[in-house]
Amino acid sequence: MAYQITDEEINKILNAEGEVRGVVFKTDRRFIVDSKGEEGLKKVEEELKEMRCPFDYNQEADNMSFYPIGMRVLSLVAISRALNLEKESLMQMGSNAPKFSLMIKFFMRYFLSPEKIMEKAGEMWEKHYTVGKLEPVEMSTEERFMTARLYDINLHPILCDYLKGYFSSVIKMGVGKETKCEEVKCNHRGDDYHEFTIKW
Amino acid sequence: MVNDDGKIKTLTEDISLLETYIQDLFSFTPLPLCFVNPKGMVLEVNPAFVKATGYDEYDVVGENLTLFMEEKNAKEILEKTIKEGLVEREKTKIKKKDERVLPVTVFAKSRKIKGEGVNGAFLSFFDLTEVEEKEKKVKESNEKLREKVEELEKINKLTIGRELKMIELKEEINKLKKKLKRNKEG
Repeated sequence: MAYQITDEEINKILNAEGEVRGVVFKTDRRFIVDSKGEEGLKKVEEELKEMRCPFDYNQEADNMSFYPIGMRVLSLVAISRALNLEKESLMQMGSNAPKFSLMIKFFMRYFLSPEKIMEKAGEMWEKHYTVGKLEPVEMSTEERFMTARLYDINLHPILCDYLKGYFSSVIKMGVGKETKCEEVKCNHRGDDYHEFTIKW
Repeated sequence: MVNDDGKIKTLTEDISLLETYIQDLFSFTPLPLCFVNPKGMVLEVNPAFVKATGYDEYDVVGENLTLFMEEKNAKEILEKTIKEGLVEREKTKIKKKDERVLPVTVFAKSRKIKGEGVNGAFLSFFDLTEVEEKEKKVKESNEKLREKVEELEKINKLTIGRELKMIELKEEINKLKKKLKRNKEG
């Protein structure tokens, strides 16, 4: 089942403080067009209109500019609803995003080891978002896992699922092996922060 | 006087323009290209690469070079590129998504960042399929030509041999004729 959102949640999300770089909408657009064509893009834009937050992916999305953070979540929800994407597909979408993200390309020189990625994780987050804080917590190359916490961002569970795919893909680029990301703690489940564990 | 917001806006616009320029350049070239990190992880490919190999960006970005190159070759070429900075005309083979094998020559150049050293390498692949097919045809034509020449030589030898024999026989006949004449007169 596609992700759902109430009008009340939309209003809350639209009023959330903070901004996000346009690069995320570029990667969203690419995913939509590659998987469902221009017709899919139209459907998503129609969905956003119905949610009373119209957005033109072709005209408005500029990699380096900042947009209200709420749009990040609403874009994902609209994609999920218009294209009938469930959790697994959303995670897949998240895992494709770093492959085409200009911002991630800036950081790719650090994707040589898990240690390097760990060191730069917070910085990478800050280049994308003006709110929230990503902090590496633990890493073991022997046991092949790393854990990171995401603080002060509590918008919608769809972002958590998307980020699971995203983090998996970034770490995969660094370790060169298949990865799996789990969200072991989450604001939406009553925890104080999000905690992601990525294993390879 | 331009304030900080104005400067940021200008810089953002400049970066966007630069990005478009790089993308256009990367997309325009008909030569298959890819950019890999020092571990051989593919970070970018151009449309010509997608067309030549059949792998789209979803398949190949984030994967190792060994997805489409033989492991030993990929390692050697990458190590040489990182060490020497430039590799030219290295012959190898790449495996397309449909499993067909493409003979190629690789041109590779390391990318360095000031103060950080080598952070990856650009690899371009020149498809040798047509060249190899033409080489094969030329070789086949040469072989056919050689066979014809040998055949001609044989015929030539036979013809010349026959001619020489004819001359010998004519001389012999003449000698016999002369001998016969002398016998009759004597």
